[in-house]
Amino acid sequence: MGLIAHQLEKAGIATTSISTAKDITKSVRTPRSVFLDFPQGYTTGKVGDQNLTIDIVKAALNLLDATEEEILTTLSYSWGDDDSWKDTVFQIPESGSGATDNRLDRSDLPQYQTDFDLEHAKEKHAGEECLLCLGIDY
Amino acid sequence: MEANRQPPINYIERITATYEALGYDQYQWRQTASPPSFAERVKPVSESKIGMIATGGVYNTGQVAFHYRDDASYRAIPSSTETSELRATHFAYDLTGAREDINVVFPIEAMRALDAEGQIGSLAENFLTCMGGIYSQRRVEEELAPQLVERYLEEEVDAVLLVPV
Repeated sequence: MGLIAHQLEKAGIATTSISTAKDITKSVRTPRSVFLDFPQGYTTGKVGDQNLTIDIVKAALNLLDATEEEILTTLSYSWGDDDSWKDTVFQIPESGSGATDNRLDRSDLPQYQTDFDLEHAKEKHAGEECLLCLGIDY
Repeated sequence: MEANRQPPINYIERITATYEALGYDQYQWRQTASPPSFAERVKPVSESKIGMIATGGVYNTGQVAFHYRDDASYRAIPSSTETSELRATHFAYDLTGAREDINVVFPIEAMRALDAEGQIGSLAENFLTCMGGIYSQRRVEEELAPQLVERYLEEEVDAVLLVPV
């Protein structure tokens, strides 16, 4: 996201971001960021908690008015009563099977959430070019 | 018993060690040496047109989904889209939360709520989505990022909320 932020800023469009990976955000140096100490996949909150998401988004947007200096500020929300969820994230177990890769196989084919989506997309793209899918390299 | 509190995860260190243990090539983490540029802000958020770019692999039903091998394309999702029409697909993160409530990686409802409250001047016509985990920095730099910039220049967006996963 750093490269995208830098190009937007150079083009005159200001950016602010929300990060769950403090070290990566520090390394890429996005201009304005809030850090939320939540697991990957929950960048803007918890399932069903709209007020929390609004507060997180507001905190990020506030940075646009607050500063023109590089900033990475930490939000005070916690994921759970303790941080034991961090014990298994990209950790090599001390005994047993060794490191694992949980990522899914690489594939050049579109990966739909549901079969219905595949049919729906086929139908929509049967005749004309879809103006909402610009830049698709298929 | 005292709660188990830990500092933020050092992802670069942990992922590097994991890949090494798996025998993969070393990933070149991006490091920016110089301070970032800042666009000139002329209006407060409450008078600005605000866009959103999210990398969580979100698409609108009816759109072609992303694929899982360095997909450098993007989707434009109208900011008025019904939340129930949104989907998520990705090879590298746990989609459980996102598929239950897309707002955890694509806070479209929060953006609309802040717009309705007048805290945001107006919303971009479209929010833009792409895949994270594009291993070629050159492709992000030369293909994806310029397309996103061009799109938001066309939509005359003043500022953008970035939501990586």
